[in-house]
Amino acid sequence: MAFLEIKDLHVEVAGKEILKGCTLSIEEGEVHAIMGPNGSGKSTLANVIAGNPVYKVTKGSLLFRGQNMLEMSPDERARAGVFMAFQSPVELPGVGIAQFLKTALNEKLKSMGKPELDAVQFIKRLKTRAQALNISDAMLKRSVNEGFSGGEKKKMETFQMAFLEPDFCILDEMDAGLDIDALKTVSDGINVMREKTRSFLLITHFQRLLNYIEPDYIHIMIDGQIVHSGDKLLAKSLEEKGYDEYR
Amino acid sequence: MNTDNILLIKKGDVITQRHISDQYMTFEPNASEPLECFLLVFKGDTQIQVNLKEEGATCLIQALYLIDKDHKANIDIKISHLGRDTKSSQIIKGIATDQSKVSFFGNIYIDNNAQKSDGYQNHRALLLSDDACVQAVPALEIYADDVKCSHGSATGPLDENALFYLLSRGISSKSAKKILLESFVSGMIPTEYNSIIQQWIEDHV
Repeated sequence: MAFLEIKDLHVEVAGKEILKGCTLSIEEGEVHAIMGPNGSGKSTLANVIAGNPVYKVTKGSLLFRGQNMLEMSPDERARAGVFMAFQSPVELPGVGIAQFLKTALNEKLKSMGKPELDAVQFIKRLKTRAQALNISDAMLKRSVNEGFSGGEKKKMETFQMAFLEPDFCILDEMDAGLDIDALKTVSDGINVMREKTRSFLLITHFQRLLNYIEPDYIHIMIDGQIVHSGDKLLAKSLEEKGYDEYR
Repeated sequence: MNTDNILLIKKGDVITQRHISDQYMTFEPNASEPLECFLLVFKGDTQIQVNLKEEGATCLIQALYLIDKDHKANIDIKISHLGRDTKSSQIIKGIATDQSKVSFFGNIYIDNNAQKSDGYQNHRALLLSDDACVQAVPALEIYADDVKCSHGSATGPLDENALFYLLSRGISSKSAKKILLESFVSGMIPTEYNSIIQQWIEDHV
């Protein structure tokens, strides 16, 4: 049984088919990257795995540890261990970061039949993870993503991931809009989470991110399908030759 | 649950509470004592008229309505800027659910003697069911040429993107809605009255 098994997935948005038979299998502990031109369906795939209701699955299957994800709500998927770092996370004015993460973690622990964290344990976990990503106490007191710069939002997504410790992490264009320093901080935050029991799906336009986070496999997505797969060397050849030979 | 409408009037640090129902209230604050009031409406008719006659008089009105079942609420706020350099600010927010019907009339009148006045009004409403209805009728009547006056109104369901973001973090649908509604109403009423609002939200998600 694969960790994540996607077979012949067809997905529509507002009546338009975006994914046209996408097949992908990821094993435990692996890091996969999907590259492809704009509009090829990369972000759609990320959103479908996370359960965004805007995307309608018309055909195919999506299994996570053998569970049929298509029958699970987005929050059930998250509590089962799936996490998506958003390309453009929403701002939640008036929703404090601590309250937000405490609710998320405690609902997950509760669903696993584990005791909730008490205030001391919670603050300790929050501060340790924040320090590792250079997130200040002042920033932790703010509302989720409100008034954050592009770089701060990506850092906050990485921080939430580190805090919630999901088993399967989808990173949708984490490198977009980041300067080199921020990219390094975010990549370090992701790399320390690499473990035998945790898998990653990176979605990116550019090879740049893959210089910092080395994937085990790279897939090329064109027009809603994965048309070619290879190892990390594929990124370099793509950088030189572009996507034309795969179209 | 007690669903009487509540009017709170703040003077300095002191808040006076008045239970109101189906009534018309009129205020005439002077420059040395601005009117600062908070209104919490569950149903019925509420009419507030504020006359800003004295030069430099100001008022701040924050109104929150929480309407459920087949209740009807009419909220009618009229601010008349009659004197020079008067200032008004109204922030109105509401949540309507079930088959409730809400009408909000917000009128800012600026007299030709009320030069340099400043009137502001903002209304935002959330609809939690397809059958709930909010009608907002903002109106500006301005007869002076050197004034500032602005208003805005928006009514709609909970933001789907915000909801999905919370769900994607493992937060249940009920908790996610609660978080969004609490952030929507936060700051609208003095904190001593938060428990009434929280209870209402808890009962309606």
